[in-house]
Amino acid sequence: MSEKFKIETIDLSLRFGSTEVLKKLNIGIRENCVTAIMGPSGCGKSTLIRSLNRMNDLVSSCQIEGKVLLDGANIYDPETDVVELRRRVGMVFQKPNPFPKSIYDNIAFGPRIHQMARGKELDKTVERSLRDAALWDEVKDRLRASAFSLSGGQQQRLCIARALAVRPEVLLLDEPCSALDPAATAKIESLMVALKKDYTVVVVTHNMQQAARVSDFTAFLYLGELIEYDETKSVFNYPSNKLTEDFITGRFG
Amino acid sequence: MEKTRLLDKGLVDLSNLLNKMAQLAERTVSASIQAYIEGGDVTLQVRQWSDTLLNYYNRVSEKALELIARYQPVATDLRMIRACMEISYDLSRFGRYALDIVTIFQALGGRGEFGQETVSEMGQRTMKMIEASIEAFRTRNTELAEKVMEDDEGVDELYRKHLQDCVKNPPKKIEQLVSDVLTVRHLERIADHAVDLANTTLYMIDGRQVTPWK
Repeated sequence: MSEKFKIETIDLSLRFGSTEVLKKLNIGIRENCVTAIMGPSGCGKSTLIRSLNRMNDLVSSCQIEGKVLLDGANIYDPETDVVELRRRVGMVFQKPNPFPKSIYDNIAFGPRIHQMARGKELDKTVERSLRDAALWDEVKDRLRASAFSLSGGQQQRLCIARALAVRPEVLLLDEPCSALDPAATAKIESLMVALKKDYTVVVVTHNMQQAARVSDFTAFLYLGELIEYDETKSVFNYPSNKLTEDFITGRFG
Repeated sequence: MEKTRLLDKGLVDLSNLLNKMAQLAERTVSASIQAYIEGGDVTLQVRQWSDTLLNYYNRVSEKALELIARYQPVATDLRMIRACMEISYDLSRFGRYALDIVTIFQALGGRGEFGQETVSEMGQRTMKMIEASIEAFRTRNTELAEKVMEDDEGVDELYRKHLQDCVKNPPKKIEQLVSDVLTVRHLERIADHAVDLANTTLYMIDGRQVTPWK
């Protein structure tokens, strides 16, 4: 397991107006690992991962203090190229949100915008991304069909493939399975584990068993504070904090 | 106020099973030691209790697997379930060794004066360890569990000393020697299982991994 931090937050605090959502968080996300962030609703977990690729910048009342280091460089420095940052740190959301385009064009969208590939090279990028997202075999004969013709689980893997197409280094997944059935969930979970070979994966989940199954490290957030962060097996076998214990055993939340 | 979880009823069922099992295991060992020291044939009774303990062990395992499969327990819940499985094994072994003691006694005949004092002393100490380890589990008492481990050293010492005595001054009847040596050996093993039970209790309470056997 890698010891290197791909992302590191240093005293990261975040407010929406007068509401303090994250309180001086210090967390190191290890490279080529799956890190799960769990906690009850409203604890700040989605806000935390959205702050890892500056998605919160789009909220006008948002104020951020502290640093988020990506390979040691603060992403909140004024000279950061946010478009490039979001290429390097991709994101997949709770509900599958394919573009109203063909399967092929959904995947090709990012590489085209970033002028990363065209022609046969673009075909290869589309195939590689769909293979990495474990979707190629299911769609290779209908790449020109609408993305909406896919099932929910396939649409979510399409969104993952779309994020992978621009060759990110980090993949942020915000409740990626909450709208999926158990079979589709199992596929996405297997995918998350397979992807860590090439990517650093951070997943926000309400589902503790999912965190236990897929992640190498687990962070527990409560009321904007990092209560516990350790190897997943430690968190689920010997939590060191009573709050974590109560949360994972279903005594609150 | 803590909310009631679906898992909680299962954990209570598991605890109740184990408490019944513990009571029976205590009674079974006690009966076999008493029969050895005071005489009397309790083989049928002890065999029946030993079988019941084995049946309890299977029921605890089944219940534990059901709870894991249905509720995916973690942390203290998971440790408690693992502890119940391991402790039920220790309790079933109490029954088996108790049966072995009465079977030897019946097969090889009565024992005479030889070794009576040691068996009596080891029997008392072993019974105290069993009672203490079960109480430590029942009341989640770490101090009591730790004391069981200390008490085991005394039993081990008695056992070793008695073997040396057997070599130096063996009884005239070989049956008596075999019966005596096997009995103290079984008592020593019962004490070891009481230590296991105490260790498992510590693991259940605070996740401590204790490995007493080197």
